[in-house]
Amino acid sequence: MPKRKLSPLPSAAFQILLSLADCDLHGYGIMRQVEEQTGGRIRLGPGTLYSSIQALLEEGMIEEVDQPGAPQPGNERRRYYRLTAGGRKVARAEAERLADMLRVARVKKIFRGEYV
Amino acid sequence: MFEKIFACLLRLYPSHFRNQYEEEARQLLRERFRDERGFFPRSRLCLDLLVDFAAGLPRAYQTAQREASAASVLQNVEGIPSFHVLDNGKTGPGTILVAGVLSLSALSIFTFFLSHTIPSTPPAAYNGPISPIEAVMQRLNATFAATAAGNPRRQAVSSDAKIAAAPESKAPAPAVAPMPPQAQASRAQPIRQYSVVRNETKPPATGIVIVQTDSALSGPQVRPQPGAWAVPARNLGGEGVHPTAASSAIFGVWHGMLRLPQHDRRTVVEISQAGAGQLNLVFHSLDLTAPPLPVTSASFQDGNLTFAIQSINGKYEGKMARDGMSIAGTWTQGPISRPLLLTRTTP
Repeated sequence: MPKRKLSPLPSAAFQILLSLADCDLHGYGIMRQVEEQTGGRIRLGPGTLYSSIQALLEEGMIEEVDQPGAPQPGNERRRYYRLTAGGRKVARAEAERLADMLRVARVKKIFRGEYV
Repeated sequence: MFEKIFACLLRLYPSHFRNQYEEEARQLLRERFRDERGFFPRSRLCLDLLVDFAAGLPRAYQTAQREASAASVLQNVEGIPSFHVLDNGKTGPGTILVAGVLSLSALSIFTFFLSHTIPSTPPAAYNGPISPIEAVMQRLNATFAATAAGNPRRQAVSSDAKIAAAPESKAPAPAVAPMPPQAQASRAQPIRQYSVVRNETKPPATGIVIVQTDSALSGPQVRPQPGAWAVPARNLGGEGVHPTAASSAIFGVWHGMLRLPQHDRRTVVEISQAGAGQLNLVFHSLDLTAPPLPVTSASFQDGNLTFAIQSINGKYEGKMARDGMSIAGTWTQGPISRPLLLTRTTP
């Protein structure tokens, strides 16, 4: 079985999958969503953002979709991205892996329970 | 301005990436620069972009290389070499220009360093840029130069050492005892004695070195090593005349044609200074032997040059012209005497 390019899933790719969990977004929207959901800790630059998007597209975790509504002036070339079923599955698996780690950390008294 | 700079940096990404996302990345840059205004947000934006550029560019090329490797593996046939191409875009004129300028710059720098010697102090031992023989000769020359203004005894010692350290000579330096006070006193006397020391084991390529020694140093204090022998020579300097001043006019290369009944023979005599009051005389008979003939005695006094070669029973006596450019004399070899005019070739 060939090794997946995104195995293990990088943090930027996981954040992009999470940002596309409930709506379709373009590149700048993904960047803003990631910034918001991480409390401003992660601001994806164009290189990291589109390299990750490229890898996610090649792995089939996201897909390009038509721009919803009429294109606005200056946004004719904007592309939107949608989370695929496979991408959602991978995101869920990654979230469960992190949750398991969180449970272990709680058992190990790393967390005192105030976060979860 | 920053927007344009980072837009230009995007051109450093692989062509495959640029073809797909350059326009979107530019639009993202424009929107971020539009939304993030003010000193702090703009500074943070520039820092983010720099970090993203430093981290994202290698990753983008790693991805391109991985894709190229995968493609080449698929297309590779066993036994046929394949090449990985990181960028499948066409080479633009700007790329060719930049590559040409960089290549020319590197070549110019390389040529500059090749044409300029790097200043360094050559070591006196073997590991330097000079050969061991050159190192020894340099050290001897430096010693001789340092003692040129010193006493004659030290000059004689350095000359002896020079004979021993000559490349052609295998004989070690003769043992010379320190000069006793009596010898220093006798040095003031005008009577001088000269010894001719030569190496028997090999024809002396540098000829005969006439070494001036003080009378107190002659005898048991100057003992040539086995393989070398000494013969007494006549006074080169003369009474009341400093030897160097008397013999300096003779230094140079002289040539002449010896007219014999059967054939003529070209003759070259090289006379140089082996030290203060010392003559280095080399006699070449170009049509007789390739190596120089061993000169057993030589003297130059009041313009009269005399030297002898015992091995061929030859002797020359000549007188230097007033202009110092020729020596008219007679070459005597056994019962035959012939005129030999030596002409200076190195004024």
